[in-house]
Amino acid sequence: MVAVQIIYSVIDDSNDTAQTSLNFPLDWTIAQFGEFGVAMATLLDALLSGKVEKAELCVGIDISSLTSNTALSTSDIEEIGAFQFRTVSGFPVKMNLPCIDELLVLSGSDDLDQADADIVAFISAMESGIVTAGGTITPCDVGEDDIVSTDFARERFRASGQRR
Amino acid sequence: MNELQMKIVGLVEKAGTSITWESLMNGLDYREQQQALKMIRPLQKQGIIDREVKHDKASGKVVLTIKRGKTKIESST
Repeated sequence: MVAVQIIYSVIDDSNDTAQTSLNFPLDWTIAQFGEFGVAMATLLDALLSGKVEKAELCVGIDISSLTSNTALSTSDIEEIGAFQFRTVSGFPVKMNLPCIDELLVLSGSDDLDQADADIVAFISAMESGIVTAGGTITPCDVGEDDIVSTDFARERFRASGQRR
Repeated sequence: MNELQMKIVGLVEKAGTSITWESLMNGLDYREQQQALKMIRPLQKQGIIDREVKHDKASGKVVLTIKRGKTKIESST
């Protein structure tokens, strides 16, 4: 069973919110998870047009160091970056990033640009982990199976779960 | 190893032991750029190439570096 989950909340220009989350085995300290959490929030900030409002690991992770972390006028939580990863045992892991920046979508396609430095850094972080002071932290699926590859990274649209 | 994989390995070796993603992209044309990540995965599996994602707190950015792996290959360039 997954012992730890990091949950990111994203808010768009209309004040609509959505969440996306990552699962981990309890193999690291809270400080290490905090370091990973800020690094991943930085990646999401680079990918999303919405604002990464908060990150939670039972207690909140301070993401106040993020730069340019604002909800752009073009941000929309119904605009999703849909990623499907694959674990070492072949299990799929889906992750939806709300408020994906439409500038990251290849023209004439719904594919996200896998040459873009921020997209590739995000995918690499999911597949190979992020280096922290105490070691490299790699996300896993709900069965603690390491993520090792990516099936697709696409733009999708879906109805928001919340209205204000 | 295919032509693009040899080119990627060559660019890493030319840069020394590691190269940033942006610098690697500068050495490839548009079509090669879109294929690069797919080409790197099997190289990483073989230990020829390694990927390192690190949070540079000074710049506030998360940087991907492509590094030379532990497995050495015969030079093809």
